[in-house]
Amino acid sequence: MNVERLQARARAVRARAVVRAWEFKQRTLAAGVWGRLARLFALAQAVYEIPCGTAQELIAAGAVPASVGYELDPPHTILILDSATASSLPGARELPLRPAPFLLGSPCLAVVLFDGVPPP
Amino acid sequence: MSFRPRLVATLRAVKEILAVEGVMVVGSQVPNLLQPHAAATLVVSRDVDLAVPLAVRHQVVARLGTLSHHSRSAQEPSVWVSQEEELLEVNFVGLDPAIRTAGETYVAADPQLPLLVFGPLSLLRSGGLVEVEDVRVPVPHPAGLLAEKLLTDRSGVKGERDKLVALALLLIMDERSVEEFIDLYSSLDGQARHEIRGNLAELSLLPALPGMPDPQPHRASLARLLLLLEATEKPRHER
Repeated sequence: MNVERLQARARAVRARAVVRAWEFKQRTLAAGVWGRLARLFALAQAVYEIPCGTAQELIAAGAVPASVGYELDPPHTILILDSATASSLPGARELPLRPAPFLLGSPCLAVVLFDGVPPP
Repeated sequence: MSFRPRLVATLRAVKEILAVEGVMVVGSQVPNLLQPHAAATLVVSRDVDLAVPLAVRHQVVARLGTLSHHSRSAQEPSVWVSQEEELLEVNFVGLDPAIRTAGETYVAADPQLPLLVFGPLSLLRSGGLVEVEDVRVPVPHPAGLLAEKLLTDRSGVKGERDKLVALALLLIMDERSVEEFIDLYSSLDGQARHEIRGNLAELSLLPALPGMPDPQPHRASLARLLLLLEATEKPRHER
């Protein structure tokens, strides 16, 4: 009976558990940035690609970028906006909500959170 | 042949095993069974997982001879396969209440039925019996299975399927079951809670897969659940 295959699966599960334990300990550091981005996008009803010039104008006018965007290298500007503002920005293009790596092709993003979600 | 008759035929083929106290169908077939009239509209996988508490393994071993339409896989000693097209594979997994984390996973050796004992399976509690035609099928309570699925350590397509099974469960859970899930979540250690929140967030961003529920129409509900879980992380006076 080929029990070795079962043993190998058990070893693989334990090995992944070691990695996840390390990731948990690192969650507040760089290793946790994908988790923080996933959380932000999971709480978003919409995400828009916006012109970076527009993003800078909005920041100058008082918009506060999400800090997680600046944890990336290269940094991304991610603004939390209300739906009406984000959708009416010149050049704004709504992106399909997908895992974070697929949304970061654009250096400047506007995120519209679901109602009731406190801003980060 | 559509999927439901195959699932029912397989459950009928293993009904003597299902009659052992403590044995449960677990994994991706559970949402199929919990649908109204066990409609089994989700085709997540082509096998049936049976959780065997180690305390009753000897009873299961004694009934392996009743599996007249299945035989042990040459490659995987805990998997039983059938030559008959209408029957699904049967995978036996071990349940040991003494362990709870994936890091404690081990192989419980046995000449007849060696089992991979996966730590998070001990989150499962009996959810009663589902009557599927002439077969009484023991299933876990959805709250425990939801937690176990959201603790998936798998990546790629298998990890995505685990998360979509979690969504399938959420779609059939009532408010009370969701509250029980939140209570269970609160009882877990910090790493497990972090992983559940992370997988829930990732689930919200997954594309649809064939034969699986699409997360997109349910993203607002997933966000609400995520916020509810986060709220339990705060001191009681701040909630």
